[in-house]
Amino acid sequence: MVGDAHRAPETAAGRLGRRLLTGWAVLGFVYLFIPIAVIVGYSFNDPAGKFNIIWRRFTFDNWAHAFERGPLTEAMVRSLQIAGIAAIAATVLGGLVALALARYRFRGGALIEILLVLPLTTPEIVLGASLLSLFIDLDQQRGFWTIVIAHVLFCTSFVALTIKARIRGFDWTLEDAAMDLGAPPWRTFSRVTLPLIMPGILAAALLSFALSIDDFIITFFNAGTTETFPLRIFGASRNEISPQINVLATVVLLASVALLLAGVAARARVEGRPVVVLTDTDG
Amino acid sequence: MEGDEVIQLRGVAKHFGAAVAVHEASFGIRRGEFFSMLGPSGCGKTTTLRMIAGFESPTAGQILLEGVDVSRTPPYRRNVNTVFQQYALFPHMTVAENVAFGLKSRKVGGSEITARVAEMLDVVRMADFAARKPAQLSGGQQQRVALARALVNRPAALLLDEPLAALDLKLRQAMQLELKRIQRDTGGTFVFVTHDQQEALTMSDRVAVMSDGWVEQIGTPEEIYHRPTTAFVAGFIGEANLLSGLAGDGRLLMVRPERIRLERRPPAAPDAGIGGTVQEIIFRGSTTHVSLASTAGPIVANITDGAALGDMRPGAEVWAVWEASAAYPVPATRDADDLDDAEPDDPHRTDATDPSNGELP
Repeated sequence: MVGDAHRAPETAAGRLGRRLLTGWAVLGFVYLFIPIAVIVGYSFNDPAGKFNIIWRRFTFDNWAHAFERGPLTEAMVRSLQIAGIAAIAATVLGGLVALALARYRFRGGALIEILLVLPLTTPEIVLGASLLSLFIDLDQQRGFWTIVIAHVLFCTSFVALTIKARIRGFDWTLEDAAMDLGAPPWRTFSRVTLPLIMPGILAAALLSFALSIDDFIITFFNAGTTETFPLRIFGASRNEISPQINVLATVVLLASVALLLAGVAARARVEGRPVVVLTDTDG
Repeated sequence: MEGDEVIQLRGVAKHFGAAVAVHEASFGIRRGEFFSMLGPSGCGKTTTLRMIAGFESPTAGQILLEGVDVSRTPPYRRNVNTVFQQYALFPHMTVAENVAFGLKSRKVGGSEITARVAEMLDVVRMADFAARKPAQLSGGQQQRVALARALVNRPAALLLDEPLAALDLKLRQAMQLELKRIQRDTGGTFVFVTHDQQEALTMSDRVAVMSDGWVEQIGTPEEIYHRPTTAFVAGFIGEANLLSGLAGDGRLLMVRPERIRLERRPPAAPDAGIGGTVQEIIFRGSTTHVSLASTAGPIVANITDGAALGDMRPGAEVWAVWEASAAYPVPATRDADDLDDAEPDDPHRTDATDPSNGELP
């Protein structure tokens, strides 16, 4: 994979250098993936006590009883619901902001771009605490919906910035062409604009989903007595670390990989010149 | 007179803030004609086209499409279609889907769509590529698809925004002929925007020459070449000598370089001419380019028969001579009267062959 057939004949030193480089790259990947491998691997562990931290022996038991731990499973389901709602809401809101910023020049556009970055640069602890005081001021009981509101808040910024970066190279003449061919604004959007920017929208939605499911600090402040998956794991970790945590985490991992592949396939369907500028390779 | 004009502009102007893109333009485009709007970039030709298409709304005036005022009608309710400069084909659709898009928007029946798409792909000779995506086509092929996508809707007029500018020279010339053929085959009205005067002369039935937002002249290619009504048109369409002091009324006398002979003695009537000093002689293959300085301004002559120049050298005193019919007076500056003259049925046209305009020095 590093070798190149068209290169000049290699010296011994060159060959050595090439192998070292390959070795270095492999090390880099190992570093990245060891934590994930440990999580997946320990989902097959049969721990001696309540703490799944020392390898004893291989078992499928944890997978067979994946949903045995009631509160943990409930927290998992709740996290998935919150992430789903937050991702959809943030993608719609952030997507519209991104379209407006990319498509039109208007008064206050630059200000909006600055405001969008603020939730991302504000420390989570500040965001979480200030949201909490807002909810208390409003006399709002904390729970499922306050978590959703908090997640939509920071996800919207991520979505808007991601989609805006992805549609920077969009050829807006295509919208003129659609209207010229008799398509009213809605048909123009649904048949031309939306399908072409869909890969960027999907990427942003996936990012939102991942950010939401993962969030601890902001959620911690605004959850009340409601438990999300991260909150549950943290709360229980003083008493036990059950292998079901690893099982559910592995399930989430597999699900995100599947979604990622779906995203790549969706982009491959949109063929042709790069109508959407790929500013990053989504990971 | 207006009965067979598909498009009429009545005092149409477009301002962008303080900038004026198009000053009051009034003209008609006749059914079935190949009409070009020609001018340098920034002259307002594309803005005018976009107003006809509906992408811009005029600041003042009216646009009539088949007799109906469409000035405030959105593009999707106007029966005109556009071929865009970069084609603007939908990259996520096949060639056939691209061509079918307009018919589907207008709720044409499924079997009719299939038939008309196939027929139109035949006309542009792209039937074998119906299942391809635009990215899999060459520039010329994309051009044909863009044409088919617009023409399949049977628009009252086809609007073309510099559609050949992105093609290389050879392909551009081939597509010029192809466009003319398609226009003949479909009998459509084509409104063509270009900055290339050769292209406009080659293809058009009539040409509107534009500059700085003004329509300078509208006429057949022969009219705008031989009988320009403004100095700008004379200079923009081909090379022109604009001689001052020979035409009277402060007008300039236009003589094309290829109509000038160089002689040793003053011309005899009905020929006209002016004396000058040779500045430069440049051999260009089929012609020899001679520049002179004269009291009427610089003169350029393109001499086909280089041998006739003999041993002429820079500094020589010669006579630039032309047949009286080769000279045509044009106003030095544009004013309101000249705009009225910009009609093809210009009564001044008879002046063109009046030898008295070419005074002897």
